[in-house]
Formats: sequence, C-alpha cells, structure tokens
Amino acid sequence: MTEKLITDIGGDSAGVVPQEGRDQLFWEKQMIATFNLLQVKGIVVTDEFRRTVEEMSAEYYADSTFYGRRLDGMVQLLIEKGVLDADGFDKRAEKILTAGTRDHV
Amino acid sequence: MSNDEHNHDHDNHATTREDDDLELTEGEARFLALKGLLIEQGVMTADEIRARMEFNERGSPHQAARMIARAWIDPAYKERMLDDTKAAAAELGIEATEAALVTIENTPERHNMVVCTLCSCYPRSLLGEPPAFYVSKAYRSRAVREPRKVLREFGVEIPETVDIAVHDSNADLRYVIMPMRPAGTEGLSEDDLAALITRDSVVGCALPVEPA
Repeated sequence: MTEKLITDIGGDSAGVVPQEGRDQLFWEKQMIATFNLLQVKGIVVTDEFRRTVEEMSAEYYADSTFYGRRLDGMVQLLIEKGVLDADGFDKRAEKILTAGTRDHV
Repeated sequence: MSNDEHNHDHDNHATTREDDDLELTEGEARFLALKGLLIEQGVMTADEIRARMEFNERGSPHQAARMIARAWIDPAYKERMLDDTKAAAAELGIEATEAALVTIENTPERHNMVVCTLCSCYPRSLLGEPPAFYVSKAYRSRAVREPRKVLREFGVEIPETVDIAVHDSNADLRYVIMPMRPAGTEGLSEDDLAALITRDSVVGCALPVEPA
C-alpha cells in the first residue's frame, strides 16, 4: 500500500459533525475572490493548489482551517512562481498585524 | 470552544457580518499583505476583486432551489437538468462556473448525499459558500462510512428499507441532489415550492421543508 495523503480522510473515524455555522468574514470573501481571479487569469490552477495542501505536514494539516489552507496554499504557489517575494510578504504581513488596522490597500 | 466565541453576537447579526468589531487576526493580516502586493504589482486591481466578490454573491441556495422547483413542476426541464445540469442552470439565467455538475435524484428506494472527502468541492454557483459542517474533517471522514448515523445528527432518519448512496465530489465533478417533492404540495406555485428546498436538502443532509 502506498502511504495515504494527509487529505485522504474519507472513512476515518471522527467526532460529531459540527452543526453550528458562522457567517463568512469579509476578508474571507475577499480572499476567495482573489483566489478565483488568480484562476481566471491563469496564474494558479486548482490542481497546483491541491498539491500545496497535500504537501502540508500532518500536524499542520490537523490544526488548519478551510480558509487558512486556502490562504497558505495560494501564498506558497505565488512564492514558487516568483509572483511574491517571501521575505517582503512576511514583513508586510507582520507590519499589518502589529498595526492591527485594516486600511493598508 | 471558549465562552467568548460562544457569546459572540449571535442575536444581532443576520447574514452579513461586519469585521470592524473583531480584532485583526494573523490570517487576515496575511491576506491584506497579499492583496496589497498583488494590487501594487499590477496582478489584479481592487475593482476586479470587488467585482468578483459581487459575482460570487450570486451563488446561493436560492439558485438550486429555483432549478429543483422548476424540475418538480416541469418533467421536460427535470430531464434536461438530470442530463446537463449546467445547461439547465443557464436556462434560468444562472452562470455555473464549475467544471461539471451532475444532478442525482432521490427516489423512494434511494436517498443520496454528497461529501468531498479530500477537500471541500461544492457547487458554489448553485449553493453559495459551503457550510461549516461540509468542510469539517468530521463530516469528510464519516459521511462515507456511517451516513445513517451522520444523518441522525442532522435530525434526519432514513428508514432501513431505503438505500443511502454517498457521492464523493471533486474539483472536476460536483454533485447536486434533487430531493423528492413532498406530498401535499400539488397546489403550490413554483416560488412556494422553491421555498421548501433548503441548502442542506440539496446536499442530502436534510429533507425538504414540509408545506405549512
């Protein structure tokens, strides 16, 4: 048997299915729209994104969320493709987080 | 789950949630950094992002409900929807951006439900963003192994005499479930029928609402 992908959880045992939802946050909507635009523009394809998620470590994946994986996978791909500079991205994110405000664009 | 999260403004917010009252998280900060760089580098514009958000907002459970209600009253449309779901969506002015959509009909002999075990593939054009349960690891893990038990957690009891088929969605093929039209709805208008069709009923995790 080949080793299972970390995403291949169909059939595993797990706890109760969460019934309580929450509304999508505004930045999450923007993030999904940004991801869609990258797809439409041919910069990112779905299968590449899936590969970035499959490459996440088991520990990271276990604690990750749906929107977190989308963002991390997208950033990873854009760095690989040379669209984003990893260092510049990290510094900018850190600066925004420290400022704690949303008016950066 | 902390008390803070639990007490957080469930009563005062409807479907739109403002973020201004929430502290900036690392995730949002990272997204704002990404967005700023993509715009500055000319990869996309803020207007394009806004326009795409508006486009995405068109996807909502009402779209699937319109199609299913039409199928319930128009056998020819139902055949077309089962044959080519994207074309049937286009007939009602719905632009489905998914690679492929397949509609599966519930019958007295078989109940159907949908999961995406590997990720979260979902017919967003017809249902909007997936609910929390659909993207949860618990649902993704258990739906294929013990669907009856999962359905019971949703308050849905499927008789043992009815088979349950679970369909695993993927990025290239996403499923839509057509629930059975409830008894006692013969006189209802198409709009009134559409109101009985909930998001979860189109995923197979609920039955349509019974008419009043």
